[in-house]
Amino acid sequence: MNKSTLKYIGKRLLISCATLLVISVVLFLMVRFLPGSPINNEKLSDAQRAIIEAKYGLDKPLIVQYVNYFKNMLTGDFGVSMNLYKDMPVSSLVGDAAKISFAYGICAVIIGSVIGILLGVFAALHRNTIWDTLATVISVIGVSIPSFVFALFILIFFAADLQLIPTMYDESQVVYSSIMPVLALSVGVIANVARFTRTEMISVLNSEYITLAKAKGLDGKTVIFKHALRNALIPVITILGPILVNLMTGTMVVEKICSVPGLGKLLINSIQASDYNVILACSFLYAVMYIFMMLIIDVSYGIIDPRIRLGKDD
Amino acid sequence: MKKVISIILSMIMVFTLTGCGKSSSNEKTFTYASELDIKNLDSSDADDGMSFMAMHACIDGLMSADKNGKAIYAIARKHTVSADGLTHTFKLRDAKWSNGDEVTANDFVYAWRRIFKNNGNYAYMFSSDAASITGADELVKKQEDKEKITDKDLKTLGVKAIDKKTLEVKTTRYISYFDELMAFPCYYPINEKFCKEQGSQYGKSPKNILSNGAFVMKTWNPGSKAVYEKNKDYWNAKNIKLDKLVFNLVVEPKVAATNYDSGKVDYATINSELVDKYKGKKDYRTFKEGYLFYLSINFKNQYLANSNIRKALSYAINREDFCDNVLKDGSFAAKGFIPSGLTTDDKGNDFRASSPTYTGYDMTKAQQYFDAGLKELGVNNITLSLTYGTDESPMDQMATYLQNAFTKLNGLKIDMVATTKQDRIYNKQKNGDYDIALTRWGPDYSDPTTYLNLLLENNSNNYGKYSSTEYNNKMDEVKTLTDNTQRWKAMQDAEKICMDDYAVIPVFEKGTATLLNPKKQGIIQRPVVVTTFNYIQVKK
Repeated sequence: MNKSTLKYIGKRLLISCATLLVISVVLFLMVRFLPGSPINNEKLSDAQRAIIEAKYGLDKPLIVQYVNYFKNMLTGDFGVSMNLYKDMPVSSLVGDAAKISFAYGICAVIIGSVIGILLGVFAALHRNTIWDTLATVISVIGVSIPSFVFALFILIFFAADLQLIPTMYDESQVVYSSIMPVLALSVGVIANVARFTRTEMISVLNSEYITLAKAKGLDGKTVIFKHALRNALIPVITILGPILVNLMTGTMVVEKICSVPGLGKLLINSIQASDYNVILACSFLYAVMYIFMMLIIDVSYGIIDPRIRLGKDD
Repeated sequence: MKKVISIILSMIMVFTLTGCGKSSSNEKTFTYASELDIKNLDSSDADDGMSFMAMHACIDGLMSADKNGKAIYAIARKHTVSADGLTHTFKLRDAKWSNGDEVTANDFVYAWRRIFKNNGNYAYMFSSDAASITGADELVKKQEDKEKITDKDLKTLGVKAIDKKTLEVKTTRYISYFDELMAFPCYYPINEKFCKEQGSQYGKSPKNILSNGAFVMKTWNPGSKAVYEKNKDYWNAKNIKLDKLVFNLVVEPKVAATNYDSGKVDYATINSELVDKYKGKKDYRTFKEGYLFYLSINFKNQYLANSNIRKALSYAINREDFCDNVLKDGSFAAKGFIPSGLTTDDKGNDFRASSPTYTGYDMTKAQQYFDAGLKELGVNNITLSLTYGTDESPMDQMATYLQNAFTKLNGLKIDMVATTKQDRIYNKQKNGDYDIALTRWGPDYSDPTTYLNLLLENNSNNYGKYSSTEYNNKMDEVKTLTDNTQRWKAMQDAEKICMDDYAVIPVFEKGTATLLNPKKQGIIQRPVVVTTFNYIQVKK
């Protein structure tokens, strides 16, 4: 890695940190200006409300509140829940929820990519046949219908009627009870990956080096799997990062339907309860994920092809 | 291809078989699907129904409730009241905490003082607003004056451990509903040694809480599930028929109903959209929550100060139609300021059932009263605002319905003021910046005064500034009477005064529609009483 690449990475890191700082300020202000309050028991007297507000530091000026919050955040302390799970540390609440959402996101991406790639290759190889049309129809359905509709379908049909899988998340049968949400989440991935793979595969199959490989007398399998697919997959891999982040942020409704105690469900519940610290931690984590993924993509592009480097680079 | 198909088929078979194994329900388990989560298990801090239910499953207070919601002994085995009605002596039974410690009188003393020490929400339940325990008003005053409450101050609270098994409570006046009060979670005991060991983590997880009740909490995964097992050392263990109690937490009503249909849960709360599907089935049932939804009237508004205008508004509301065709969740028309099922007299008569009905729907009368009101005011038309919180379901439905109903009165224009619950109460109502506000009140204890006190001139919740000397005098009489029959009559008279004045306009009593496994009956859900699972019987 040469000096210019290191400098580029350093610059991107700095930009990411600055972005996160701005996001934290904006999030903090937005959350504070949300209608409602975490202290919403109508039977509390003014004095009791004041005591509770002082306990959580809500009586201090906004700037002081932010500075305190930011200082604690740097040490990994995201404060305590003010309403949803009274006085429980937010870091452990968000940490537990994030683990589940991450695991689901990664599983859905793996399952979705494998099936999507197979479907895409299959469609490309049978281009302009009924199989290609069928695969395209499946992809379009997968892209157009939101994952929570699939979740509802799986819940009603496979879980409730046929009773093949559990109807809700159960920590005593984690793998088994994760089938429904993971399947629902992977449908979108399958569709996206299949469409992308098909297009890439067709373009690769039409390229001259494939014609050369065939002319050299290589058998069909080798041509497809060793030459065509490997080249077609490079661009596919680049879309998996954003898909993963999208999945994690888009799991909210699926988590609600499948009763999964994930990050999305925690965020929705915390917004409903106006639980400032929990909302902040969840939203900030999403922001970190996005920025981190963008950073990885930018940096890897920059390393692979220095011409892509964003911004002015000496 | 054949290979792939055979792998898929065998996977489906494995899942199916596993499914059969796992889904076979244990008959002695009761699974409750809740839309809400458990917030907290600390009895000196928790203030929501789900947390109360979760605590009550594993903690007994001095008293508990029987199948009809009447107070019965729990940790107390005997309760005597001195001749002047001011000293309550509770003899405690031999009961154990789940760490093997005895439940002692000091556990109550510690827990009650802790509420003041930690500035808990329910300090007012000890004051003259409710239990009237000596010293409580002074401690609440200190709290309000932001003075530090010292250990010496805490000792002034009228609760004392005479010995390990005798608790003495002193009150400033005779409280006829003291037994019922003692079943409320803020009066639960806390094991001092254990609580101090847990520090700030007390009540935050199953390992940070002790049980002396019917069940022991084994796991609690926030947002997902809480599992309890029968407490074999419970003093009444022989009468507990369930082996296991499971709360599925934060489950959407539709998902809960689907789970109920598939036999995965025994109890589910459903919303009005689902009621038509289940109404009439043996699984369907409704219960009264005890919440009264009513209109707070601002008496400082020149138009609303006119009694004919208030009367007209009350007559313009078709409460039955709203409950039966809009809410459809078991809610029903309110007939007065005291909701039904709150309390009964010595003969078992419900307060509401034995009192007159003060509401009714009659548009002709409504218009007549309204016209009379306008004439008295010397105007042809008036505009009133309707303030409600959009974050308080079903206030939005109620507001829309009322707007429609009120604007049917010729000469009345309604301005909708949609805001948040916090803004409605603490900005709009508290500062008198409203005309009519949609509000609700849940009872703190099973006595009509939990509602009637709200309209006292000096009550901090009397936002509308209703003021009636006759009413205040009657309520003073209620406070001093020790004869239950006379007191009952005085409370009925007090309700009549405020209802004849249209001090507030009751709209409906909130109900909840649920699905319950017919083979697992016995869940007790009543206003004020914390939901209990202790009486559930499992039929084959």
